[in-house]
Order: sequence, then C-alpha cells, then structure tokens
Amino acid sequence: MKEEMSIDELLNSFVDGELTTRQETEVRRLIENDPQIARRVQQLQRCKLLMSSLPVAEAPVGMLDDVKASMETVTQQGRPFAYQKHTETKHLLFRRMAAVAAMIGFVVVLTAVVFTIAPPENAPEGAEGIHVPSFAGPTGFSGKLEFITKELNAVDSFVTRTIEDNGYTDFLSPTQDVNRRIYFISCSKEGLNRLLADLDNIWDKLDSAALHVKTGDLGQEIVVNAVTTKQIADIANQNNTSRSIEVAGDYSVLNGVAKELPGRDIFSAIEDRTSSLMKINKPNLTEKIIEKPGIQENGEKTIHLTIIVSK
Amino acid sequence: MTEAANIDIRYDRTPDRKISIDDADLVNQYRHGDSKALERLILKYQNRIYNVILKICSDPDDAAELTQETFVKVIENIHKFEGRSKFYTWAFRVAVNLTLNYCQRNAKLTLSSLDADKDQYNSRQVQILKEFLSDGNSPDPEAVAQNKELCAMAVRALMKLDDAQRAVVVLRDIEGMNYAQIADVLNIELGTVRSRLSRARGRLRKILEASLL
Repeated sequence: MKEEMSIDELLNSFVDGELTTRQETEVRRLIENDPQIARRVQQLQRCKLLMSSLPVAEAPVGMLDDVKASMETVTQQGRPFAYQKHTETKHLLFRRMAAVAAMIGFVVVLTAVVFTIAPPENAPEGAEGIHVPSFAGPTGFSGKLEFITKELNAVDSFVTRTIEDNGYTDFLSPTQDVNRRIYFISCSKEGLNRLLADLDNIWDKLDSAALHVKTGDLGQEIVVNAVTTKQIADIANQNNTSRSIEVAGDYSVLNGVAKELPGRDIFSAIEDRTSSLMKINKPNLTEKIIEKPGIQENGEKTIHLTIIVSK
Repeated sequence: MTEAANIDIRYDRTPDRKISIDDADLVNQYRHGDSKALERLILKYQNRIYNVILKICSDPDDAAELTQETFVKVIENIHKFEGRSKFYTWAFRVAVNLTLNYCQRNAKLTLSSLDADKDQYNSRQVQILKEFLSDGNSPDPEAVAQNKELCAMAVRALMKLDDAQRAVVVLRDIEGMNYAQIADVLNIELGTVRSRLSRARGRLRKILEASLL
C-alpha cells in the first residue's frame, strides 16, 4: 500500500477485499477503536450492497442473430472480418462442390439422352430401325448378329438353307431388301449350337461379324466385334441374361484388344478356323430331329437371335 | 478458480455449468475455422455485457445496439487478440469504451434528464431510503434486491455520477470485477481505480442522502 492512500481509499479497499492480511488486520483494529471509522465502513457496505442488488438485465432475445446480421451489414459496406471470412470460405467451398455435382449430373443425364437418341458410333448402320419381335414364353438370351459381306447372295442362300435345315423356316423375315437380309430365330440352347456349327462354315466369306447384346440400361448394348461362333455360343449359353451380358462384355474387350495388337496374335487365334479351341463340333445325332420353333425342352428359356446380313 | 470464473457461477446459478471450456480455447477454435466457438463466446457474455452497458448508459435500446457493436468489434479485431489479457476483460474493454464514447456524445441529454428527476421521490420512497441508510439496522440483501422502489432510486443515483465514476462502480459492484481487472478494462492504474471508486461511492452516498432532504 502506498503512503498517499487516503483513509477513504483504505476503507473502500477493505470493503472490496482488496487489502493484504496485514492491512485488513490494521483496518479491523481501527474499526474497533474508532466508531466514526466503523460507521463509515458500514455506509460503504450499504452502498455496495445497494448497487450489487440491482436486478441483472438480460440481453434481448436474438442477440446472436442480430450480431450476425450486423456483421453482414459491415461486410456489405466493404469491411471484411474474420468471422465472415470463415463463413465465406465454407460457403464458397459448398458452392463449388454443388457446381461440380450439378455438372456431373448434367453430363450423366445428357449422355443418357444422347445414347437413347443415337446409339454408339461402333453400332453398325444396319442395326438401326430393325424391330425385333417379342416372343411368348420364358425368354433367355436375346441378341442381334450382324454380318457384312461382299457376297451377299451367296451368304444369304447359305444362311437361308442352314436355317431351313434346322427347321426355322417360319421365322424368316418376310421383308427382304436388295442389300439386306434379316432372319428372326427363336430356339433352344441346343438348337442354337447346331445352327452355329452350321453357320461356322460361312465365316470365311464374311467381312465382319458382330454380335449386339442389349444391356437393358437405357437402350445401351454391348457390341462384340469380330465375334466367332464359339463366342456366340458361349455368350448365349449362359444360365441367365446378366451373365450373358458379362461374358459379351469380356469378349468385346478381348476382341478389341486383339485387334489393336501389332502382331494380332490373339486375333489370329480367334480367327483361326483350324483351331480346335475355336471349333464348335456339330453334335453327333443318332437320328434327324427337326426342332419345332418355339417348342422348348423342359421349360428351357428361349433364345432369340436376329441375324442381319448386309453388304 | 479465477474471479471471472466466480462471476460465471453467480450468473449461471447452475452447479453443473461451473466447468466450461476456457475462453482462450474457444478463441483458438474460432481461429481454426470453428464459427460455433465464437457463437458460444457471444452467448456466454451477451447478458453480462448488455447488463454493464445498460447500467452505464441507462437506455435499453441503446444498450442493445452497443452490445451488438461490441461483439462486431470484438469479431473484427479478434485476430489482434494476443491473449496478454483475458478475453473477458478485452471484450469488456471494448464494451465500456464504446459506451463511454456514447455517453460523451449524449452528455447534454443525460444531464437535463437527471435534473428533471431531482425531486420526484414521494414520502414513501424517502422513508424506504431513510430506513436503508440508517445506521441502526443491518439490511437483508434479498429484501433489498426485491425492493423495486429502492432499486429504482439506486439507479437514479448511479446515473448522477459522472461517466468515469459510474463505469468503475458498475464494473466493481455490479459486474464484480476486482481492481486489477477494472484497471485492465479501463486502461488505468490500480491506484486510479482505488481513488475513483472511493470518490464515486462518496458521491453516491451524498446523492442518496440529498434525496432525503
């Protein structure tokens, strides 16, 4: 305590508990010995009590919101501040993420629309506008096999004869045009294998053979270019449609990669007519069985194949 | 436990709220991008700051505006807060400075208003005040707090102090700050706090006694 502290300051400090123990003892001794000092201390305590008893006022409801609103006003006046910087950063990040998400969504929708309106570039022209008829009964694999050949008439007559030999004459398309022949075939797995075994003989007259398999996703399809009869049989003979689609996808990739290889080793192997791997042996039949179209053994699912031959 | 923490308890009145996150932690969290931490600081101090401002300026609407302005200034300058003083005293320094500037601008209006109120106590009010100030009894703090007439007279007396004296009384007797904290808030010496408080209470006593005449 400084020497210049007045008695009043000393007593106020006593009332406020701001004295050291020694100073407090000193003041207590003064109070005991001097009624005037005691009276003055009492007055100070009353004054202090009166002020500290005043009711505590609470801030108006919504003060926090008002503060936020004030801060926004401050920002609009061109005074940036830390709180706003943080919230602005968050808002900016959110806006950027929302913009990216919107763009991705837009691209996905646009792609779907484009694929619905126009099929992929690698889809052969001949595939457009061909209506594949629906078939009654349980359905299995459904695909479209497209041949392109310079020898349309020879291939046509071979395919026609093969289909007729296998008993599917009722399913020949009635609308044949000069540059294109279309055949609709509905058969069992076994019937398809026999048909493919016969059709294998025409493969060396084809410029290209492609199998189109619908994925069921917004009209998209998998195209297996340079497809072989064994691959067609493999795809069609799967137990369910989704598995057929998977296998078709695998062959599509495999054939695409093989085509791009400099040596075309794999492609050659695929194309090799003499390879036992790729050869489909015609089943050995003890007697000639002509399978009636649409009649399936033991409720087996029907395979639908559309063959398109064009120049 | 610090003085500020004791004040928290007085206002919250709920024992389980005694333990709270330190202000420095909240400031730090806010600086690391947690705006909720700042909101917690505002919610923690809004009533106390508003109460101090109201007791100094006496106008509820102006007190609300000054409280808002206080928090805006605190937020604007929080990056400058170095932690040499506590956030508590720093925020109150902003609040009291703003309020004293406001009072200075409105000095004439305040004085004329006080003059008008000078002799308006009725005989009942005079009697209440006389009983409170008489040396023979020892007043019950609860009874004093519940006596609205006595509180109203106390507020009027407080408003007759000059701004600097009123600020020191409010910070000590209403907000409950110790002398060191008051010195920090008002940016004055500890000795100045003692002398100013001593003079303020002396004058307060005279104002109240004058009302009895």
